[in-house]
Amino acid sequence: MKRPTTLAAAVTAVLLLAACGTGGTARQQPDEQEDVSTEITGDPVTLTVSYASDPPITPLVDGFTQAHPNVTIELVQTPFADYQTSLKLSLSSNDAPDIVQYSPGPMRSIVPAGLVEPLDAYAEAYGWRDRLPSSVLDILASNEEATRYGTGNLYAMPGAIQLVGVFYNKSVTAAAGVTDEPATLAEFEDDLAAVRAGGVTPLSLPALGIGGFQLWSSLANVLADLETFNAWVYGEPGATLVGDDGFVEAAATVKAWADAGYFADGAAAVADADAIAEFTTGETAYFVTGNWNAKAFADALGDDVGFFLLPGTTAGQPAVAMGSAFPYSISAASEHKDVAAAFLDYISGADAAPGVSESGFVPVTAAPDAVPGLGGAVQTAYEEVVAAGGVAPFANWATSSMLDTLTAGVQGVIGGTVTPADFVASLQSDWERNHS
Amino acid sequence: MSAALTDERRDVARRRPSVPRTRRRGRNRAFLYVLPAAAVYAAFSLWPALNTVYYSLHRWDGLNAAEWTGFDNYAEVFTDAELFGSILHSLVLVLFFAAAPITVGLLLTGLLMGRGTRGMTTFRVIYFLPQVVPLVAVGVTWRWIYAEDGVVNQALRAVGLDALTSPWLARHTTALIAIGLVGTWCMTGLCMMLFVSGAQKIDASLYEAAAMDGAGAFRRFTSVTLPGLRGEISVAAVITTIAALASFDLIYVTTGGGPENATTVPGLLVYRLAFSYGEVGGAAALAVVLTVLILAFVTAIRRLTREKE
Repeated sequence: MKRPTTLAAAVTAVLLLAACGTGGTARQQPDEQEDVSTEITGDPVTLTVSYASDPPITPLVDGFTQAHPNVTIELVQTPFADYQTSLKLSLSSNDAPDIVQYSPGPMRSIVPAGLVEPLDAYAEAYGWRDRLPSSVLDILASNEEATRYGTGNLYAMPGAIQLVGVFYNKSVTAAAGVTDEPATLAEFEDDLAAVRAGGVTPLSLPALGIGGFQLWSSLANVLADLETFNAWVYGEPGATLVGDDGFVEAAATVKAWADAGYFADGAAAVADADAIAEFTTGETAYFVTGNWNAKAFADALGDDVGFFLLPGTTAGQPAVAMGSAFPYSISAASEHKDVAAAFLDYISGADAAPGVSESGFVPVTAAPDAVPGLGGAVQTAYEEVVAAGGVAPFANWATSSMLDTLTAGVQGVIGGTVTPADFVASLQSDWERNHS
Repeated sequence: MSAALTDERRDVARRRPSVPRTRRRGRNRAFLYVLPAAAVYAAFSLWPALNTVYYSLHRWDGLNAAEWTGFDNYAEVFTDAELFGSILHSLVLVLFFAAAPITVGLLLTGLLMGRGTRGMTTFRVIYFLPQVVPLVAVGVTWRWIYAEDGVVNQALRAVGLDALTSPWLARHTTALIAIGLVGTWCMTGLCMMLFVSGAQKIDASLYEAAAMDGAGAFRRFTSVTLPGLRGEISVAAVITTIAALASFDLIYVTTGGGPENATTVPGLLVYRLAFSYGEVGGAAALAVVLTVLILAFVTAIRRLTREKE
């Protein structure tokens, strides 16, 4: 009889103690902005930058410390999957880094906890909003609850641009008799058919990872209404994908391409690394992916690799593509916010452009000199998209769980177990579960 | 340390009748010896486990204030198709990770024991190798083996069975079974090792007596080897069942739970809920359910394989 009572008492005691364990870490948001300055100190300063993706951070840091020799920047890299999980802990710790690479999932907790600095005062002092396109900056602003983008405070600044489009292997497409880049989606489908007829699998599609949803998103960008999609990703109340047939049509196109054999039958089990290997060895002709792979492609294929934006249904359709920045935020606990802000100003300016281009990415603000090769092609495409107002956000930014819902859903569409309409409905139900 | 403890106990036992005060002091001193290990165990195992139970009763993102939700998270584990589905998948994996390897392991043991010890080491090394390779490497390798142009399909094509080829991990119907077979491949060697070493300890005179009674090889296996391996089978069943229910790394690198959530397991969803979705409470509830499930299995296995008294 005695043991259960003791155990119960112990459990109760532990539960009471554990009650102190949750909720104590959140710091209060300052009510008033501290004084900000665009002049930085000449004294020695050390900033810590916590990040997952490299490039583009190394060329950015090198450029900044060259211009400001009194600033030392310590780089702390964490692999991407671990970065997501450790960001909350590192920002709430006593020795939080000064600057962190922004990641939408964890920021949904970090922004409400007041652990990153709102940048509006700096944005005004430096004139960031006048200098940069709103389709790049808006997604980095959110309300204090972090439930809605495009409103409230600015929490991060972009350091480089990633853009999704169609990369192609020129010698493979030429061998299939495809001579020019397609102007419409129908032309692109003809090209895919031509490559297929030549016995080559037209597309690399790593649907085990992010490739599946990026193909769907890219198609949705040109087939559905961009405003509807933006409102949905931004979390505007009542936003829905259901009702615009373009989203279903995009999924149906993915299925039609699967049935036509335009990508591997087993795409759902093809990982990113395998797909990159296929494309760079010439086993496939096209790869709908982002310019984070551009350097690997250019290194392997040289001038043989080209890039174009996924075309729309008509030739004159304004250019649209999925894009986002590599954004960086300032920790609320940083003691050198002015210096950190000067860094954010530098990375988004033209001075940082050459280093970013060299690392394979598109600079936020282009340098006056033209960039050669594949990087130049991507940069031209990006400028075209910005001019048309068509930078679409990444669909997985809509909710923390959307990436898995998208990945699983596209796998279902390819395998035929999920209809295109049910796929879009599953995205909507994920959205509603997270925005209730 | 265990030697010291035994001495202490012997001491205590010797003095028990006459000097009760010393006995109490002795017992207290015994607790002192246990304290360091107990403190480490409490701090790094008990405390986190109880904390997990506590989190499971809240909606908490890991950073901001938690909200008490009672048993809502548990209700969700059993009503949400995806969460409950993951538990069902892990039960299917038990067949492949535990039942199949034990059966094959016993079969191999029977064959090896019957032939004497010639080449035994070679067999052991071959079958035990999968245990030595890290599961992540195993997973990536099998992803290639099962791929559309992988070894399995190449073999099928080579013998003219083109119609049977399939991207095994990409099909809704075959993915879970394909992963299960990887588990069988991994675990069989472990089971065989345990069983062979157990069988070698069985008294040879038992086999002789059985043979003299006219028992054939099969009868000797079922009447002598099997009962003699009761303990090893129990251990193998516990280890492999836990590996099946708590699997994570293999799934994470082969299918990531896909295609279309056909291979999700609780371990994978606990990771996603806690670290990607910011739902620490839901993750904790699923982890607690998984723990209870594992304890239930282990208890059942120990009961079933207990020596009759």
